[in-house]
Amino acid sequence: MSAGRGSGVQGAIDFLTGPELNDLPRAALPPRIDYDPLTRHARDLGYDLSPGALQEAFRLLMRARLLASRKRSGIE
Amino acid sequence: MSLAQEPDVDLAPVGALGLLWPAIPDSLVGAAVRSRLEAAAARLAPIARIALELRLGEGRDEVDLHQFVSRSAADAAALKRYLADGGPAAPGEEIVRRFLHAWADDAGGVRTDLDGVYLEWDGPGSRFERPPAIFLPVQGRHDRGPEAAGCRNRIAEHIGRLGLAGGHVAELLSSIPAGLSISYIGFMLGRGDLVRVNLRGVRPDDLEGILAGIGWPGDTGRAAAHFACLVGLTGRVAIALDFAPAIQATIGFEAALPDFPAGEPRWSDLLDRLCADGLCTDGKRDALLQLGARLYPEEKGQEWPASWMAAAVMAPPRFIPWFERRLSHVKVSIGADGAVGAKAYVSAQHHWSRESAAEPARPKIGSDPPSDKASIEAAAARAAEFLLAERDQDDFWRDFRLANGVSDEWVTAFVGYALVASGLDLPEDLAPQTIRALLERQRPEGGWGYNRASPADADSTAWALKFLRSAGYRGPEVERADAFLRSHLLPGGGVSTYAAATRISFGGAAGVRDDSGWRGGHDCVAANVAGLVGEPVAGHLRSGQAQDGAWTAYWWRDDVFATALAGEALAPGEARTLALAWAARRAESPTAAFDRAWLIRILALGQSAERERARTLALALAAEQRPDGGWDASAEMLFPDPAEASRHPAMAVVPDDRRLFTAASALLALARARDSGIVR
Repeated sequence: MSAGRGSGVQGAIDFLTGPELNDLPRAALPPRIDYDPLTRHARDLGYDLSPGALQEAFRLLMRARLLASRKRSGIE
Repeated sequence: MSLAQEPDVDLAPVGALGLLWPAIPDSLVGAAVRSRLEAAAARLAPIARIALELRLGEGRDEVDLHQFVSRSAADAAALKRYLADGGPAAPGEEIVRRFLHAWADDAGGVRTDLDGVYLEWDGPGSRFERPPAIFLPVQGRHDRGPEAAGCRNRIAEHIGRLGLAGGHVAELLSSIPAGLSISYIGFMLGRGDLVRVNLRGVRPDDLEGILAGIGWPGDTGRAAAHFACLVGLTGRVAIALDFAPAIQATIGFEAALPDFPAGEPRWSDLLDRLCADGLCTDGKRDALLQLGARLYPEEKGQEWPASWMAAAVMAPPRFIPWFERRLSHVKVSIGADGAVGAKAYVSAQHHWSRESAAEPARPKIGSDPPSDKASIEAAAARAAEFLLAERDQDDFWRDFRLANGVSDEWVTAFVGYALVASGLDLPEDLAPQTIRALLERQRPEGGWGYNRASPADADSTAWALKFLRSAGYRGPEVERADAFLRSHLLPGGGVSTYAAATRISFGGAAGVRDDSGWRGGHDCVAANVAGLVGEPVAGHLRSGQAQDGAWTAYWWRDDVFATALAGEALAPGEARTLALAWAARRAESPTAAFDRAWLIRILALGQSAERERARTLALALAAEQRPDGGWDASAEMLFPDPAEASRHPAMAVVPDDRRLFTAASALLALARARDSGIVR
């Protein structure tokens, strides 16, 4: 286990866009709306993430995709 | 972006329940049933497109679970992983496993031929759980004649090869009259040999004969009354018939409406009626009217299942997921013993793209037409078939979605006029049925409106009059309509959409706001009315023509429609010449199907150069026709604030989402091209 890899929303963005996401165990991704297993797994990897930070990081990542998509299609 | 391009990832169906539950009160799905449904959903293939089937009566808390598996490669891959992990099939499940393997592998081309499959579990998680039903699509709405027969043969071959049922199903399919459209066939694997056939497009007048023909033992007159009521409320009602192999005692009527209840007032009418009949509780009605929503992960505070989150982040950046929960349809079941019950179907689906899915390509029937004229005639015939197939079962066409609902009176008058004026051979009953439907809606003051909930207006009434006259109707209603229309003439010959005496209210709610914009003179309406009343409206149009030769529309984003109607209404002269010059210039720019159609109409009135331009446009219009006979939606109506007196770029644009207004315009243009001799 490494330590101090990131916290808060920026840490959550780093975690969600990092290479370890490809190797997440199934247990870290419960089918229900429950972020605790994912934050526990992130803690094992050295992140200190709250469910709120994860949710906000995901929102920002999807928002960035949407803005890029709109820019490509000339909407914004 | 098509389904075929979706990311190949697992999406737990339980996540869809998680996003559905906040909108579902305990009165609709109790806590114990939720737990059972979650346990059952956790055993499904990782495809997050599910639906709940809810009983609406008092004390009825059973809920069935459905899953839709599309023809996409992503769904097939998810299915293969699920089947590989699943171990041996439980007793009774072998046939389901066999079918799912065949679907995933596209054995015999089943996935190539069919758009998707619905799996339906009765009472999942309860001790009464049985193998699911499997529902397969049979015919599309636009599959008629040889195409329809081909669809039935193809599905019968797949059914036989997959062992879903015995040879009696092929006989059953062929016994359904060719004139009826079979939307789905279902195999109720938990109920012996029971096979369900869903029929679409049946008119209320025909139901008793159909039920008598198949030997249904119940009161056909009573069933027909229920059916007519539902058709009157929603326009489109499918009939579910069970065979084992004889017709079974219970039949069902499934009523579906587009859009969420907030944008479709007929949902409320339908559920109110079910409550009045004791088939639905008030609490369940209220919950169903409220639950529709589209959820977007980029919005603040929006929760998203963790497993879906990881799937989205790992998907290519062009994928931006969203989720929709909605009231899909309502079913009323009627037993031969007279028992009646109602259910609602609520869907909960993950989507990957903000763009609409492309329509799957269908093979063309026959070879290309040999000449320009034949090409135009064939396109016109396909357009008419498209419009006929899109007519609702209460004989109305519906299009455009406003806060006030979908238009039926105005759209029916316009589409009916296009069909009758096209000169094509139409079903014998079409004009009389449309006349009857419209006359039943004529208001006491003599006019028609956007829909039942809207006040009568000059434009809808003008199209209704054009239709009635083209259809040869001469009753007293025509005179009343003509008088109503003339009550909209303004001093100087202009025409207002709504007369000063008209009470502008929607659905009974009186307006207290400034609505002077809607009561002003509108040249797009005057252009339409001029074709019926001539002077003084024609004089107003001549004096009000813009310097560039166009007439400025109030209700439309572009001036082509108004200019074409004005040009047709005016006698040859300077104004028409100017309009032709404007149209010729306008035709230099790329145009969508709706504007192109009206450019053809006006340019065909011109001299050789304009007529040649019209010919080119008509051939391009025919070439752009979709396989179903329609065109991409491009009739862009505006919805101005009632106070606004003139058009501006920020006005809300409302397209003809059902594509009927565009198709009817294209039909009128193709008929003009055919009849004016511009194509040979």
